[in-house]
Amino acid sequence: MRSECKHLEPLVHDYAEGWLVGAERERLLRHLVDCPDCQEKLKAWSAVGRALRELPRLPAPVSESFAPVNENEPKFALRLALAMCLPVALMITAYSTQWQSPKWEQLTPYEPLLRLAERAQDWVLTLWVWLRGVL
Amino acid sequence: MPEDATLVAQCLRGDTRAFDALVERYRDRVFSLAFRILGEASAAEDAMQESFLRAYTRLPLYDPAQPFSTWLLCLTARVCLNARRDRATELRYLEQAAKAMPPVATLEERLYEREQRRTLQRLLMRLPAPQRAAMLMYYYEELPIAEVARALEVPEGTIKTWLYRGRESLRRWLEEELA
Ligand SMILES: [Zn+2]
Repeated sequence: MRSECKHLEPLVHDYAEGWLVGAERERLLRHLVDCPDCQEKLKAWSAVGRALRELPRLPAPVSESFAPVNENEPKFALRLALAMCLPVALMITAYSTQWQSPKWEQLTPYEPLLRLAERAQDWVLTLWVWLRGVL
Repeated sequence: MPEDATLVAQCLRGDTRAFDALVERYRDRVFSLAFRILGEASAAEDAMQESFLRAYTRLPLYDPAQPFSTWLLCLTARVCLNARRDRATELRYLEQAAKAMPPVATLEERLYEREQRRTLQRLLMRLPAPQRAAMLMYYYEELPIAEVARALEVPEGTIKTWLYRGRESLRRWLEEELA
């Protein structure tokens, strides 16, 4: 291989890709005309590119596991009902374990209301987060 | 047939059937690219699933100025290159699992096996993975250099060098094989 050939090799590649323009293209074409080695290389590279383009496309296996969350989503009412289950369960648990009906004579007037309000805050917060998550 | 852009828009409005249509349209292309990069059908199938799943969750990030196919196939190539990294440890386990399973050769599987044995695919597997991915994205899928470079996170000049070297390697190897 002549030293000029080695030097021009990247241009042959670019030419095979159709990237070569202007003066460089002219220069390479002048060289190609009387250089069988570079002609061979150009042909071989073009053939490789063509072979890659013509690799057959393969049929994808039919996989049943692929489902991008496209199951029929439950209707809004059902989802709402499901969403309410947790807060209701929480309320039932809270009442059955901790809540005792106050004995009137032991209470200062505001205490039960305060306790109720504290619990209500938690419930509302939980309910809100849950609803947003589910809906 | 609705256009990709229409299907994407429908999908973004929550119509999952539109996404199914996109999957149906591109599954062979996505699978084929994955197979050519990974060289193995089961790994390619995993990569296909992962690619569609990612495409689905990242659809809001898709820029409609770009063809959907380009976006999807670039994403697929990235999934494949990442999958390769996790693969080495998994391979031993899979080999054992394969031994435990009875051989079932469907027509498709025999086709994939034949492809694996074919000279060009076999020689492609000798190239470094990112270089192979670049070659396949550019020649096989005819994606623009700029997109290939962006997907593989290297400069365009590097992609051009990879294509040049990859093609020269394949030429040399093919000549050796066919000599
Ligand atoms: Zn020459």
